[in-house]
Parts: sequence; structure tokens; C-alpha cells
Amino acid sequence: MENTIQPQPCRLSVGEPNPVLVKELRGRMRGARAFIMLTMYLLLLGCFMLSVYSAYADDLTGADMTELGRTTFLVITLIEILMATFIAPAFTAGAISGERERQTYELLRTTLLPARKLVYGKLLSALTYMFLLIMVAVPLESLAFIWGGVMVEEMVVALVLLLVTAISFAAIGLFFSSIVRSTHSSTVLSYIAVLLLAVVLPILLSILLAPGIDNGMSWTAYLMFLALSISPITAAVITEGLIEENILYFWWDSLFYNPHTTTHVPVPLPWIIYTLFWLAITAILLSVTISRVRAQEK
Amino acid sequence: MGIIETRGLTKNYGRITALSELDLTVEEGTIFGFVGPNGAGKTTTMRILAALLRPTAGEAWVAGHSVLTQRREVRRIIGYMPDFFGVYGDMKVWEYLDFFAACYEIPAGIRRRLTDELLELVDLSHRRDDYVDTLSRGMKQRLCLARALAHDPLVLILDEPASGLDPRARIEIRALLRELHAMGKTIFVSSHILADIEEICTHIGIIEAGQLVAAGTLAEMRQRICSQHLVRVKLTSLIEEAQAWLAGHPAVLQVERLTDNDGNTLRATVAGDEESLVRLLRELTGTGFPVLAFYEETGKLEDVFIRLTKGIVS
Repeated sequence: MENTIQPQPCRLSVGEPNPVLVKELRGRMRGARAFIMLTMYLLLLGCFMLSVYSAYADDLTGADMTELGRTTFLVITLIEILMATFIAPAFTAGAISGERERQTYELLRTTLLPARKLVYGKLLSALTYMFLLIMVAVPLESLAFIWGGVMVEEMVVALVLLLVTAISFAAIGLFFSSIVRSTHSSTVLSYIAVLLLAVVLPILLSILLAPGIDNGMSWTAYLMFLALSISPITAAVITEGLIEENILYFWWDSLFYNPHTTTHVPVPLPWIIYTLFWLAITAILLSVTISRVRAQEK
Repeated sequence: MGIIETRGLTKNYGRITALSELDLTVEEGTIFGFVGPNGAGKTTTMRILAALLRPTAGEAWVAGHSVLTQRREVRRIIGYMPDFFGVYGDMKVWEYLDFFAACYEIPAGIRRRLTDELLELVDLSHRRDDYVDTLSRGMKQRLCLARALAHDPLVLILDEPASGLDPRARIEIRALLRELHAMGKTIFVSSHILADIEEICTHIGIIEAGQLVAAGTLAEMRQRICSQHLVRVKLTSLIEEAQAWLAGHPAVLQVERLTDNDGNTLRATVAGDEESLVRLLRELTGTGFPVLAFYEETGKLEDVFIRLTKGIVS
């Protein structure tokens, strides 16, 4: 075609916030709902902490104080990981399908908003609220430092696990939201995927591999270790156990006993395997989601 | 060359053909009314032009940009309003426009002024701080139109903008479209109610079963009426015999019995000029049929629509 009319040049200045993120956050934080949810969440965490404290409260010596600190840290971290596992997909499962159901999707797709910005805006808005939930629990977790028994490195590892869980499981919700039309189906599929990948698959692999494990470390045990590292809960528990026992954070050299030889094999801690595995899955899911949103309807 | 062009545009949904080899040209600066019964292919055409839907075959251009390969350029040029659309109920009116203006890459510095101007244009300034959910349907329609204007598009693609509106809201939308036309916008507007379009359009295109049946300026379309006449013949008796006689008359293209009232009225499409009508009446009475009334229906564009479309998909 000749005689094309040139469209007006892009005028948006660099550094302006993602409009979808601004809109979503405005909607999410408006009214009392967000603050009621935060308050309820903190009350729940507070109750758990109180029960842990009362279990140790009768006769606290120096050693018991350390134990109290560790237990408090573990309980809060596990609750937060469970929350991230099961709340993150719920925050994003309606992100794209909800726009379709509200009949606003086409309005968005005829603007100049790139598919990438739409997807990242939805993801970031869900994550921002998740991060808020994680951050408001930091003062409670900090009590563990007053009581002792927890190292800063452990807290950093716990935070990494939490962030990776929130990002990855939010990406699962977003992915299903882009491939199915209804939010209901997207939510169901997201939870099935989360349960399969984070709970069923690691347990199933462990059961299948368990009979092959002899004394000492073997390749079967190695695979089972990798499988257990996929689940946020087992990854967190095993990591914490290994840190507590050996004071190491990244990997250790394990002796592999084969029938004829003995070899040294580096074994990464579960939090590293977990982080790498889920960040790779997240990258794949996000790129598929973006291409789904970018594609013209056929 | 038109600002909107389609060549051999075809869209199949499985075995159903929604559009068949559509060739359409819309000139710049016109209000082009795209008329057809429900299911004729209007929305499919508009969604292809808005770069939302991929055609099965053929190509379409907006301002010379391909809707298949230059989607971003097309979106910069068009403002699209679908037939059914949702609004973000939890947003305030100004937030809604501000959000879409940001999606159209308009800097924050000028969005506030732009939002106020758009609200003034669609007469919603007084509802600026209200939630979108509290607006009436007509107001939501105007807000959606304001949204489509946020990036100052050259072409507006409006799918049934007056559907479901009360008479007052229809008038307001029509007035708004006239104003936008006066501002130099090309407006491609669809409707299945020809009366809504007839008043404001400069050009009309009639589509049925995915094919363009007729297209032209208002004057050209009215010209079509002049070569044919719709005549009502009311008789006191012998209605079936008269119908058969008219059906056999060389000047009568089509005849049908109207079932309303007492069922004694026939409607005939008669070819030729007014003299042909006089001759037909003379022959009809001369044959002995008891004619009570013989009159021509008012020649509106609606008649062209009725005659050209067969109601295949409505």
C-alpha cells in the first residue's frame, strides 16, 4: 500500500510507572479490604508466635531462649512459604481471564500497551501485595534475633525462598489466566499445577526412588534429593536442617559409594536447586504468557 | 485510496463464513455507516481493522498500514469502541481516562489536562470524581468514546455505539459523532438500525452474510430508490387473485401479502418511473380488482436496506 499516513510519535516519557501496575495497586489498596486482610494476617501470625512462646515460657534459660528463637523463626517462615504457595496463584489466576470476562481485554489490546507491559504489570501488582505481606511479618520474625539462635544468613535464605515462591507461583496463575477464558477454570488449573509440582511430584519421586537407596550417598539418593528440593516446604525444611547441622549455605562435598569406587560429588543445598528450577520455570511461563497475549485472535 | 481499505477480506470460523471476499473503501474525512443485520459480519470486519482478529484470507489497511504486519501503527491511528465492552467499576471516571491515556503512552504531565478536555467533550465533567459503576449506560458509552479519543486518533471505529441506549442517549451520541466529524475525524460506524446512521452518515455500506451488498454516498444510495418503488395496494376482496395478477405483471419485481391489519394489503416492488405506477393502477382497476387504496411508501434508506438484504442472518 502506498500513501501511508505516519502515526503520531510515541510521547510517553521514560521512567513512568507501568499503567497496569498503578491501576491494579490503586484498586487493590482502595477501601478497607486490603488493610483488614493485613491485620488478620498479622493477628494470625501473632497467635502462632504466642503459642510457641507459651510452650517455652515456664522456665526460660539461655539455651531455651535460643531454641525459642529458632522455633519462632521456623514457624513464621513456614507459614509465609505456605501463604506464598497458595495465595500467589489466587492473586494472578484472574489477571488476564478477568479482563476477558469484564470485556475490557479488547479495550486494552487496542491501546499501545505492549503485551509484555500488561503481563509484568499484572505480575508486579500481585507481587507487590505479596511482598507487603512478607515485609509486615519482618518485625515478628526479628523477635527471633532478640531471643537468639538465628543467623542473618538463614534469614536471607528464607527471604530468597519466599520471593522465589511468590514470583513462580504467581507466574503459574498468570500463565493459566492467559490460556483459558474463565477465571474459575484458571484458578482450578493453577492450584492443580501448584499441588502437582510442589507437593505430589516431589513426594511421588521420593517414594519411587527410596527403595534404590543403599547406605551412604548414591545417584538414586541424589535424584531423590533433587526431587525434594522442588517443593517449597521440603526445600525450606531440608535447607534449614543442613544449615543448622553443618553451618554451610551453598553446597557440600558428598562421598558417593559405588561398588568399586568412591567419588566426591558437590551437592547444592535445596534452596539453590529450588531457586534455579523455579526461576527457569517462571521464565518459560512468562514468555508463553506474553506471546499468548501478543497473538492476534485466530 | 481510502483511509480504510480491505481487499478480498475473508474470515471463516470453522465451516461458517463470517466474511467473504470483502472489498471496502472508506474515504478520509467521511462518516461511513456500516449497516447490516445481526450476524452479517460487521463486528468481524471491525475487529480485523482494529488488529484484534486475524483474517483467514485477504488484507486490510488503515491509513496505508497493514492490520496484519503493522499493528502498532494501526493502533496509533485508530480509536476503537467495541459493541460490548466493560468498564472498571472500581475506578473513578478521571482514573479510567488517565489509565487509558497512559496505555496510549501519553505522558503524565499532560494527562490531567487531556482528561478534563475529553470529559468536557463528552459532557461528563460533572461526573469526574464519581465511580464508573455509578454512570448510566449512555454515560458509560460516552466515557468509552472519550477513552477511544485519548490519543487523538485519525480514524474512529465504532461498533454499534448507539445500541441499547434510550432515545435521549442516542441523540447525544449522534451529536457527539457529528462534532467529531467536524473535528476532522474519519468515522467508521456500524449499526443494524439504519435510522440511527442515516441522519449522520456521509456514506453507507450495506453488508449481508459477509458480503458487501451495496456501498456509496447517501445521494447514490437514494438514487437506487428512485429506480424502484415500494407500493401498497389495499383491496376490499380478491386479495389472492390480485397478488397472483401482480406477480405476473412485467413491471412488478416482487409482491407480498402483508399480514398486519386485516390482511387485505399487498406490497409490491415496481420497476420504472412514476408513469409506470399510474399505468399499473389503471390496469389493476381496469381488470376489475376492487382497489381501496394505492400508495407509495416513503422512500427512506431503510427501504434500500430492506430490499438489498434478504434477512439471511438476522
